[in-house]
Amino acid sequence: MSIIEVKDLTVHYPIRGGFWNRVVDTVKAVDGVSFSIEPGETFGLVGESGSGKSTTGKSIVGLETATSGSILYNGVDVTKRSVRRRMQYNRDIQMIFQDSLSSLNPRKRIESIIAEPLRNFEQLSPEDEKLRVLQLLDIVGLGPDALYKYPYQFSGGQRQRIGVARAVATDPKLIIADEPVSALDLSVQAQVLNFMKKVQRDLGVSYLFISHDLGVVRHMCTRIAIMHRGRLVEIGTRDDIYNHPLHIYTQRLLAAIPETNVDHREEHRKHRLEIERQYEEEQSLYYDQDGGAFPLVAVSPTHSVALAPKTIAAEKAGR
Amino acid sequence: MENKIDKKSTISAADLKRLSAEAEQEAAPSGFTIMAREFIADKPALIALIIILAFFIFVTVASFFIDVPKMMETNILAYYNEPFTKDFFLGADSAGRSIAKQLIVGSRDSIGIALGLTVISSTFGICWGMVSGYFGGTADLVMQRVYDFMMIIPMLMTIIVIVTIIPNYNAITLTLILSCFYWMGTSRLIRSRTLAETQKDYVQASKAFGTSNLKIIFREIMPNISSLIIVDTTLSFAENMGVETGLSYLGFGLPMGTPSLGTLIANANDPENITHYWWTWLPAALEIIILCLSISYVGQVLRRTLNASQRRGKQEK
Repeated sequence: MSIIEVKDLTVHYPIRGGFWNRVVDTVKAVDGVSFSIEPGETFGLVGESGSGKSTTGKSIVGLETATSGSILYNGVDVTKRSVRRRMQYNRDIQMIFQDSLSSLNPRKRIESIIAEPLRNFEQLSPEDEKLRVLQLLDIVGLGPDALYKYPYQFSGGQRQRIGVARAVATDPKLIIADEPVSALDLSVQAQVLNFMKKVQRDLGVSYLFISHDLGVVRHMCTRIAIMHRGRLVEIGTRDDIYNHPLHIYTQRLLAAIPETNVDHREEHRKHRLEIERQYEEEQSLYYDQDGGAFPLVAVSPTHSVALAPKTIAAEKAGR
Repeated sequence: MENKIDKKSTISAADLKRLSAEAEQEAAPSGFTIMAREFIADKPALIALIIILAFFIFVTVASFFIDVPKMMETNILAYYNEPFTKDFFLGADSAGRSIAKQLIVGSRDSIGIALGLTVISSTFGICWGMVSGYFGGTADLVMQRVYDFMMIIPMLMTIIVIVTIIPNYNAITLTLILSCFYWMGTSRLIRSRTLAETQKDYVQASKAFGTSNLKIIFREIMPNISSLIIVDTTLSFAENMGVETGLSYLGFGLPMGTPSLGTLIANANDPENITHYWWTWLPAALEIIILCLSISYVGQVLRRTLNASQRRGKQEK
């Protein structure tokens, strides 16, 4: 049974204007997204800036209000704040933020930062609480000397590990990781990602891993969803997405990964240009009149793609 | 579930004492230590602090030994007594009342009122501004209209009218009346900073970790705007010293017959006093200048304590 089931989630922002400050239009940040996350897996959500992936994550954790659709946790719709509060939803669903410095309160010591979710959801004695904080610091590879320091005294990687420690403090079932390593340099990225994997092995949490970096996603995720213009265009296992991409947008993303092998420079360039040309010419095969993606259609048990109905028919015939 | 984290970590309850000792050694200095260092690094501010504290204590203690009704009796024989004579250290005014004693009792009242006024109006202004800025939307709209309404009331005139129509009032009721009119500036200032703070990620994080709104406002956001609060509070304290003094100067402050810094300074209204009897007004004027200066010096140090980039004190552990 899946931990979280997102069904037709939409988040629209009104654009106000005109004489009475009326709603003249809406920004469709998330426009009908459905997926589910299984226990213990890492689910990648990939897309360009502004594709709505962060908004999806934030509405799952409860920081954005869904316009319509539902988010089911244990079979209960948790899009309402009162419901979340009653079932102590955020004890089980936590979040890691992109900017490690600004997501830690600069005026608080590490002890109270990590203990914040503990104080909200678990009544521990001061000693137990301190012990738990020390254990959490230990899990992410920080010593007890960090306990009474302030966030600005740490490097970016250490701060992000503190963020990880805070997120796992109440032993959640799902952690929304909103571009957790985008602000870090490459060696530190690997370090933080490995700590995240270690935490997953130790505690069995699931991640919703939001990123635009396909290399990182490949390292981390078992299943991946590609998002474009507020809708999912492709969803499948790591193998489906990286080796059999069907949607043109996925192919573009994959072609955009920089190749370090200079011997094949011309080849890669040709491949990229070919995909770009295909994207320009075959828009109608992949996007409807308004530029939105088509509904997802399953092409194999694990793999679904948003293709025009006629392309699907051709695809099936070809297989 | 508690066991889950316990199991995965090599740290157990037995290590707690050793590890927390280790942690304390590496602890960043507390706010109080930093404040003490800043005062030591800034000698004028240290002197200012000593002046303020010594003066407050002296005035409070000394005023217990002064019989106010007796002091305010007219004494024709002491008409404009020169300063530095027996019984009249700072001379006497036109009614033969000791300036030094009036100064002590008047300072106690003025400082008391300024302190009370600052505490009440700043607390209210801070709460109003933070709640308004944090929640935004309709709450902000309504609260800011109340603010606008209070702003367009001509403050001084309204206070004078209220003071005139209330038959009996004393220092406490005067403080309360004044407090109703002095919270707006603070609230606007605090609101603007709260608006900016609310957008930051750590507030989002706190929300995601299930912290309640009130806790976020007063435990998360407030420490982050504390430097602004301290500066604003010290400045308004210095300013509020002048509020009561100014009202008394105009004749609408404390009830007639109560000594006050304002009435002492009002002696300077008389050209003859300015030219011949300087001791009737000069001490009170000097006192206000020195106190206000000292307070702003101390305020600067407090601000530096809360802003790491401005610190002057020694930084080693």
